[in-house]
Amino acid sequence: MAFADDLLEQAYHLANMDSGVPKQASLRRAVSTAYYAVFHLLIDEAVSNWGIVRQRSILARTFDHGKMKKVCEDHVTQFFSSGNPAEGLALKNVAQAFGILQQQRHTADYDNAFHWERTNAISQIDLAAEAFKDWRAIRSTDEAQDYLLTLFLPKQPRL
Amino acid sequence: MTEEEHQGHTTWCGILKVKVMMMPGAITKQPQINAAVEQIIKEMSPGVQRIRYEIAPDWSGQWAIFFRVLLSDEVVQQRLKEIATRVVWRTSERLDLPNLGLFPYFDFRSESEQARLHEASWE
Repeated sequence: MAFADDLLEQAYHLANMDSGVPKQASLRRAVSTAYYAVFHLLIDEAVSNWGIVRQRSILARTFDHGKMKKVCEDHVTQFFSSGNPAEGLALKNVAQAFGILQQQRHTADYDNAFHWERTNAISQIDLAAEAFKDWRAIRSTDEAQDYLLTLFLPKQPRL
Repeated sequence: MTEEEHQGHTTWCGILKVKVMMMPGAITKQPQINAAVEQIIKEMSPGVQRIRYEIAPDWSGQWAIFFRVLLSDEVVQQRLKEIATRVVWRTSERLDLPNLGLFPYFDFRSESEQARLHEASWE
């Protein structure tokens, strides 16, 4: 099983591990892990296109969370401004889930005032799981492959 | 909305340098937001029992809309993934959130969790 899938499975495990009222630490780690599952899913897909295998881990370290979120937000904005085209829905869902999960990951990791409940944590993980499903349905399309490229290029290409 | 409007901007006011927070356009669109939220509750009732929201800057200073979605215990036990993700996508679609200048946060809670917590903002 790929690392991203392991992370997703781990997120569910953490969210469900405590019987009764769950520990905040378990739920926070679960939400954070769900975000990282999607993060690694996209990175692993992107670097797998690189022909020289030994360089892939170096390339993977160049991805920037903030830049990826910005690309995702721009993608979502463009989807809505172009009239919600049905053929772009799955990729829009992946991009939007990435942004939402990154923000929730910040809440989980840094906002101690926020109280997590199990339903909320599992809902965030479910959103990540749906992003996996959507991504795998479209991963070989030109649009999906172009999107991967935009996630790490320093400047947006004209595609 | 420009990035400057998102983050607020610094301006000179007399001798004081003050931070001015610009409100997103969505503040004036609350009737449309309310109507969209009501429609989603109607479509997804009785699994979705209530949706409350507030518009405020998030931890990073970005304007955001925080949805609090109360779900029936039955949905949480049997169809959480389906319903929670549908709420996220339907809400985004109906509101075109990027054009409102708001970043969406969706938080979910079951009836029984709320019964234990009695949090007023979820009522």
